[in-house]
Amino acid sequence: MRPDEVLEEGQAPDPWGVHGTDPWYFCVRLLGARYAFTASLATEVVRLGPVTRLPGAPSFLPGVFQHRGEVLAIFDVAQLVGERPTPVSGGSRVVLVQSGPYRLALAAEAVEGLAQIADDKLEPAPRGNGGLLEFVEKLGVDGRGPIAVLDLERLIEAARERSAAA
Amino acid sequence: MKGALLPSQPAGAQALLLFALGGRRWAAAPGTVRRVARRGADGTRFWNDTRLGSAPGAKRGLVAKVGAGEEALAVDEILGMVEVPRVHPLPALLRACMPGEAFAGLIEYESELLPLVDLPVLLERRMEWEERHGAERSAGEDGDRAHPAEGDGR
Repeated sequence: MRPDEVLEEGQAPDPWGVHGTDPWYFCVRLLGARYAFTASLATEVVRLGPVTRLPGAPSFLPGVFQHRGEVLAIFDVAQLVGERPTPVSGGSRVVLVQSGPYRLALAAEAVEGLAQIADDKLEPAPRGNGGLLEFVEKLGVDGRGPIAVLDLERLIEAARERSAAA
Repeated sequence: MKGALLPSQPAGAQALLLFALGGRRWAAAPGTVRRVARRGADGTRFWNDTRLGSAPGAKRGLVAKVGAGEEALAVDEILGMVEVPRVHPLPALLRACMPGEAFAGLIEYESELLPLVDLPVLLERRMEWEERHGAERSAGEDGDRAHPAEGDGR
């Protein structure tokens, strides 16, 4: 938000300066396609520092790194759904996400950024059978092409549940 | 050796034992390490393969109390004591996805994040793995059989 903006009562500060009535999404490239998730979950885009791998960690948590004194886990949704790993190394751009108690760094093939997509441009996705489609809520097209809206919170919860069941 | 025994610590700082194993550096809280054992000197069982890596030829091990007995983690090198200002907790999702794992946190040392190993838990998990798989160990009192589940991501 701009420094001169005044928040209404009950209105959360918006670090991305989002305005307008259409919902905003944060867009990334995963597994060669465009995916989006609710913009309010994304807090920052950063470059990875040196990555430390923890032995025994699930493959979808390929490492940790330090950012401003905080240690964050890298979350690779591609590996969660059994796909090829998203390349991550020192210098890769990741999206910091806050979802409930979990603050993590979402790995992506590319970080696109914010996009405002009108509701009438999106349709409910057919229920997917496995893979990332299982977590796609809506499908649509914006100015940059086809896009699938992910339920990122459900993905994170699925990661936790699958580890607990392992 | 980078670390040295430190006579005093500022408030909040923690002294930790650094060791090398499997080509990486690791930290352990000194309170969890009973002593450093020499292989074969007193009959303490050495574990040569754990999640941290392999050290089959290592002559020294870090001994921890596990259950009613003592077990040793074979290490390539004991680097000494270092002082760190703080121990970072494991990120919440890692904690949720790795319950009961042998990492108590992470420390920053020489611009690198090093896992802080909970030595008794590491050895206990290793023994449990051995019991589950029920395989014979190789030479004498050494627990150095290969174990694919250890050291690999799930």
